[in-house]
Amino acid sequence: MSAVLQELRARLGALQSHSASAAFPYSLLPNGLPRGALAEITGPGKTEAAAQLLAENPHLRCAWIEKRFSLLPSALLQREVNLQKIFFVEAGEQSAWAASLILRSGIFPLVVYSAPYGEERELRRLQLLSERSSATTLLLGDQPQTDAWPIRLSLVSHGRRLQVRKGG
Amino acid sequence: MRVLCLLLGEKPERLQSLAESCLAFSPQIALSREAVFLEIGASRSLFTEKECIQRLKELLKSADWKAKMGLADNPASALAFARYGGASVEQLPVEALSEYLQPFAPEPFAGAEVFRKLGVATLGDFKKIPRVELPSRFGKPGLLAYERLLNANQVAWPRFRPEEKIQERVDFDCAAQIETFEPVFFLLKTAFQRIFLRLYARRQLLAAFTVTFHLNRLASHGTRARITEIRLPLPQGELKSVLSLSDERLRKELELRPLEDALEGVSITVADTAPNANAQRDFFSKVEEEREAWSSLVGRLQERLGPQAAFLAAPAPRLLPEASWKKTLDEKERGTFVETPLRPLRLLAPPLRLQRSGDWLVSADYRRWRFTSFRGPEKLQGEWWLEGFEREYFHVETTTDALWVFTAPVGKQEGSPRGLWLHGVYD
Repeated sequence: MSAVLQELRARLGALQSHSASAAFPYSLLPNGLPRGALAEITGPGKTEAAAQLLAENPHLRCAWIEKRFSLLPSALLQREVNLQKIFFVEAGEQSAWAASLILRSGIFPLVVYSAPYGEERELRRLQLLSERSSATTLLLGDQPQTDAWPIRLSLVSHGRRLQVRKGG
Repeated sequence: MRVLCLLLGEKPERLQSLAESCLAFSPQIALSREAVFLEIGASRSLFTEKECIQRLKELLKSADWKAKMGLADNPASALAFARYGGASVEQLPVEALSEYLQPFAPEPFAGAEVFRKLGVATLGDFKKIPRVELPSRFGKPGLLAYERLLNANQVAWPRFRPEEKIQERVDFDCAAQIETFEPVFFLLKTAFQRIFLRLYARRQLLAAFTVTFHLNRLASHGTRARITEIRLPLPQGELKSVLSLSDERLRKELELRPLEDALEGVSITVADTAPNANAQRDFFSKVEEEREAWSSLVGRLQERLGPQAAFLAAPAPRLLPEASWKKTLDEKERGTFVETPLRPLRLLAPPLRLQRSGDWLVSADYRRWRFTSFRGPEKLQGEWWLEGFEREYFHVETTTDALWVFTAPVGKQEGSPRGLWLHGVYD
């Protein structure tokens, strides 16, 4: 009986430790990308930075939301991204709704959001949903949102490196 | 043998659905005109009698069915307990002999009145009559009733065969004009609940269904029903996801095209199913839960955004950059990847026409890039069996961005001048 209990505890422990790790490993950030938070990457090279994160976490399931789909998935494959783990959504004007739905589903630990953002209420909703589902929402934008307090980590891409503008 | 009887007080046409839902508890089911019988004695290793009764109560409640229950060692006693109540066979009224004579098709027992006049009010009293006196006092029916009462468990069970077609209809108490979707939603919820109970018992998932709005049958116009077909992107086994998807679709449809008349009720007919191999949940794995959540998510996104808007991608064996991948929903599809030089992550569709002016590249929408260096060309041509193409690609470094541009003939004629297009950005 005790052997069975021990095995049960070990399996439950494994499940708990799996879900409790605090950050995704990311070579461009010494402490990794935090879980359950809103982060943004802006500037030229932001998509490459997101692709690198995915390449370094090949088992990570990711939802990639675009307002108008302009990604080249075969180019992601060239960067060693596991394409089978990426779920693409072309959401148009309903990108925020799609992101909320995806975060609520709890399937994806990472959501890449490549659509205009900045409205505080919308960001706050994404932040709450990210926290609740322990998922990270990575916003890809042209300009950093200076006053957007729900964004915990703001990064600016300069070619092949990232500069931390806020958080970290 | 332990037999549980569910005696339906109203609408016996629901018996078929109830019996089918009960297949989740026991494979040995029998159906009479007013009751469903389950043999649960052989399922004791799966659940206790108490658990089974509790789960059946929840099933009845969720599907909005009302039934009386009786549990005994044989079908006749179970039916009699369900109908008359009581804890022992001896306390049952003598009218219960009809249940013992024909448990699966009981008829009112003609001799009950005679028994009562003679002071035989219960089955306990009936049992006290010496057997040898029965034929002379009550004739053949009396002896037969006695034999059946003593050997009630020696009865052949009729075979239950679920109906081929799965259909559930739920009606309002009286036809109602529909101004908001909420009343329809509640009808749909009950109907779907019953559909999923039946599908669960068959170990099947819902793949496609039709929703029929039954309009006022006394209406002067010709339309009596409106039918909407819904095919789910992925088969689903959970009420919640299908209900939210149907809600979105039907709400929109009724807003655009309101019902012509008062609504009597709604029926749902299953048009297509898929096998549910993983009906038994694994406590240590979230795979089934995630699969359900995934199906629901894809369904809702495609319903709102369009069938092509939510997808996985797989490489395709084509040289044309924009055709080098395809949309899929199969996680296992790996596709065929063609080795090429590094492509940009962002691709413009359609490519943007550029003009070169000195060190500047100028687009038709007046965006400008000052180029500093370039690499290339990478010549791509082929696919003559389709439209055919011939392009020379360059990786262009500008002061702000890294661009992927190509030159190609402007016209289709031989020797036509070459134009410049921006096709991608290394973002």
